Amino acid sequence: MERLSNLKQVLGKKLFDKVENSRILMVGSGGIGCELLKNLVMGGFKNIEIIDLDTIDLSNLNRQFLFQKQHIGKSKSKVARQSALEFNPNVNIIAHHDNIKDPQFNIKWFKSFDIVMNALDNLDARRHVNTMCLAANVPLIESGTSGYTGQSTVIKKNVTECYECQPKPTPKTFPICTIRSTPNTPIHCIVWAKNYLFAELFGKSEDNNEINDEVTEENNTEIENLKKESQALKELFKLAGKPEYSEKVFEKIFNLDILRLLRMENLWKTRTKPKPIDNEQYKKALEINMEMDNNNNDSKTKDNQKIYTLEENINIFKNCFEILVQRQLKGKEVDPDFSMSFEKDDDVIMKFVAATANIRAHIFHIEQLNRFKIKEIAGNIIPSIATTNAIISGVIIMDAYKILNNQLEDCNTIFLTRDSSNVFVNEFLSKPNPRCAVCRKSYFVLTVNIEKFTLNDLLNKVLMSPKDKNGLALNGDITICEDQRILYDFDFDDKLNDTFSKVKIEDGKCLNVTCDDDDKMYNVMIYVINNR
Amino acid sequence: MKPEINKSMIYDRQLRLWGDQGQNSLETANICLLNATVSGTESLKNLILPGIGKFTIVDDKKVTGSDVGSNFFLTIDQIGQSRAKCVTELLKNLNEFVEADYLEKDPVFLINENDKFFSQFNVIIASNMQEKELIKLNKICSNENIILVSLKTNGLFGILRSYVPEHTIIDAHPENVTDYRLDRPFQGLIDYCKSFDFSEMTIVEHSHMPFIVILYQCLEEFKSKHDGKMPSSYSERNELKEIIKSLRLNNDEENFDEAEKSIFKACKPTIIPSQLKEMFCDIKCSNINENSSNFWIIINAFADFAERHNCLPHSGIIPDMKSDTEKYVELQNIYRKKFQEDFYEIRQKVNTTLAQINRPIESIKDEQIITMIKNGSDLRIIRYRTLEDEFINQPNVSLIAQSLNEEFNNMVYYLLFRAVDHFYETHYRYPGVDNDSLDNDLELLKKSVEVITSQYSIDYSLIPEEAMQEIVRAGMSEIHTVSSLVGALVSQEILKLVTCQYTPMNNTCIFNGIQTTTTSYDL
Ligand SMILES: [Zn+2]
Repeated sequence: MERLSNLKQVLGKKLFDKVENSRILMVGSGGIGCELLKNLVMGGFKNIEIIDLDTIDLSNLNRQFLFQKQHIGKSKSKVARQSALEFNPNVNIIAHHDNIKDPQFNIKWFKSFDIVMNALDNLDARRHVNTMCLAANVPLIESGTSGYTGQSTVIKKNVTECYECQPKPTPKTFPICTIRSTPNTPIHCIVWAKNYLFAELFGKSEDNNEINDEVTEENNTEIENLKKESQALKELFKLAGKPEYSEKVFEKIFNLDILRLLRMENLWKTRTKPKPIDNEQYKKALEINMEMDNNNNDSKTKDNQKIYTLEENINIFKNCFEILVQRQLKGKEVDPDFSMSFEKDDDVIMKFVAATANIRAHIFHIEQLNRFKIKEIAGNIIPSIATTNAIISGVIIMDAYKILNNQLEDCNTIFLTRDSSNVFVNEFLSKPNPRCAVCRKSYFVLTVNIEKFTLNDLLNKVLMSPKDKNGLALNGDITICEDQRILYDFDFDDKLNDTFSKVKIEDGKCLNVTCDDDDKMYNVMIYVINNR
Repeated sequence: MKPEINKSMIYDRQLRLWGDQGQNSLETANICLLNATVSGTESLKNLILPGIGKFTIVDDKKVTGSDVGSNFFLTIDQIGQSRAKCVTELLKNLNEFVEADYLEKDPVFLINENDKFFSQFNVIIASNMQEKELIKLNKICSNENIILVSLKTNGLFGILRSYVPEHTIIDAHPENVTDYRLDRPFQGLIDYCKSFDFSEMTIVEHSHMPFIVILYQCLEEFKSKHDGKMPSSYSERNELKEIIKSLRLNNDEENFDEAEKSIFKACKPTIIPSQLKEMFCDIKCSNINENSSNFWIIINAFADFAERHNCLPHSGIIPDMKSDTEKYVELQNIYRKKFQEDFYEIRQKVNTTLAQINRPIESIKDEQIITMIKNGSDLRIIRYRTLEDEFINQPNVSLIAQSLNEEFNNMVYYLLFRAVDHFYETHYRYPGVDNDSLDNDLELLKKSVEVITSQYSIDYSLIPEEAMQEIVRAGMSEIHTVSSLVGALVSQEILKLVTCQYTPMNNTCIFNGIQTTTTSYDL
């Protein structure tokens, strides 16, 4: 106790006790998370749960100080817990190495916390936690950093703006024909190498979210052709393991496919024609003596900054391709469905993507980029350092103290800027956007026995039941969905008598109910908790 | 695995912020921390992680219970041991590439008795030091060209102060660079822009020519009607806009949109920014000698260039634009060629200078010159005010008085930090350290506040009583989060100062943990 007497003196006994008794959820234990966990255990917090799906990578070590070399590959949340407890054993930390979207982390669980703190790096999880905190009516401290800049804000249902009150920029996608047929910037070549070529050869071609392959009237014949083209590439896999495989793949993608494009003359009326690379050029390139070093040695910055010649890139292609094929064949021996996903910190994958992107750039007369830059683009890398994360984590704790002291409305949205004459820019928290589709919804927690409760019960005992019987008193055309799946609407009542468990509405699932009563639309989210 | 193998992988996410040049500067930084307070420890941690060369902790204290309560890196079983030793050993584990050392000595003793000790460092972080010693330390740093950052925290408040004799910013990372040179086009650009004949184009070609060509040709038309002058007023720029509009074939031409949006930037005359003109007049620029830094040798070459061309060398950078690839690459190459020619001139001048002062040509690398050309109009030097000027010789009275009149100002806490120092000098202890004498300490602190405010001839009543109570209540204790945050602000500044990139704070920043605000002052 004596250890924290300074803190007690500065915070005052009342707040200090509240801090000690509070339950905190920290989502993400990476850059901000490591700093934040340290601040939490040093800041008087005694009950902390942390969750992170990720494992520790070499490139984390420049800032995530709770991790060291011997921890590479291990769970971030578990190691963070262990490192924090080494120095401060008097704190309860529960670590989950899981996805925050898993159903076990249901509304009841969210409700058990006094404050949720986001230390995330992706939009999808941020959105999910935002929704859960709104539904559970738990205050959320949301934050992020990039290079020298960062920000933090507080979200509380009906009091402040939520994470989605202001529209977020959607990730950029590229039309399929630009990527596959008419690239004109280095990025198009990188997307081709990573999302088409690598994915088709080694990964799952379905997860191509950066390429927009929506079929329109103009592009439908071309899309058909492109499908055939990918199919032909896949068929070459029967050669995998044979010495001619790399040559055949090279010929396919950098010669035959380009020749096909050249035959579509209308494409080249306003564009410069691409120049395919024939077999002879390929073989000649392989005659040059290029030293290959695959002990990760090549990741020295100097080589990463270099622009290679076409011949060098062809050598890198062959070398990396063969290594990746070996990995793939080994993997398939164990699991026939084995696939690889693009990993920016995997040297061989990165070299393969960079070399093929640059060969394609050469063919289409596009500027080539060095591997350092290609990695940044392909990996969507956001620069990240310890200082910024530490500053933002400090702000988060200051906000947490205010929230526990019933001063939530005194918190600010804080921007850490690059401008040293104005380190913090503070803004008052905004009021909820009345048009927000996320926080203006109603949220409802339904605790039932899913083996017995039916959709009909939901409709009659809850949704349409009058307010004095604890119902929602909805009146109009009701639609019930789970994610994208329609369970009930006016024209579809086949499942009405099925129990929740039969239609796979399990503990932690969330139902989206809309009710259209001519002039108004009501939207209710129903969180299901199974009560056996 | 050999150590050098993984460095660029470990440092990947920061290399994208400051590049190899920044990383090299960081790896040669030799940093000294005076007093291993929580804020000091935290600021070192954030510098060890990205890989400084070496650190040394100077501290003669033993670990106490309250150290353990607020310093993450100390544990209960270390109470009574050397604080310098314990903190050094724990911080050392954060990065195997960083050399670590410690010295169990009182920093005050070193400052007074052995100032030579400090000349081995290029950065000193002075944590919880008194004004008197800071002034002395500042003199040492000024003579030895050392970066000095001092910091203090007290409960929910913190202060940091930077001092560098002469700081040069070689890469401010400006957010957008626009230097089209359309007001004084060079030959390559003229030839290229003239090669387009609007009337001979297909619709596709028309909507795919770079907007710079559109602007050039429309400007030519404008100039022919205005005695060869560029548009310089709102109405003239509007006239140019009308010319651009008249050449459109339809409303969907994005390159014409870009041209219209770039009118203001394109019409801004190419000038030499005032801070560069000042540098050109600086004695360090005109008087290049054996002791001149690379920075000034390159600036000297810039001055020479500016004299001949009345502009800075071109960076070769143009933004992305709506255009067909071939035309865009061609235009890029034209600007790049211009850059290469300008670079060649600067390189020649630098080589001549180096020969004159008997230094090898390799001592200034091409990359360093290129970085400075690319940042031409954002190059800066900052000469920080000394602490002696701030406290004694020329206090910035007007800024202090003016800031105190603002509502919710943090200047109050600057004066309170000074008053606490005065208190310490008078009573040899900090206010509020003993729980039994809080009321008495408040009265004594008021006296110190009076002394400080009277130095500036400021009305004593501008310092609210609650603020003084807050200071006494905190008793100069460190609470972890505030110290960690202020320590991180210090390391953020040191990163900028050591890498000579981005714009550092000049020169004081106050952190207020009640409102979670910061204010920077040039004191
Ligand atoms: Zn909202």
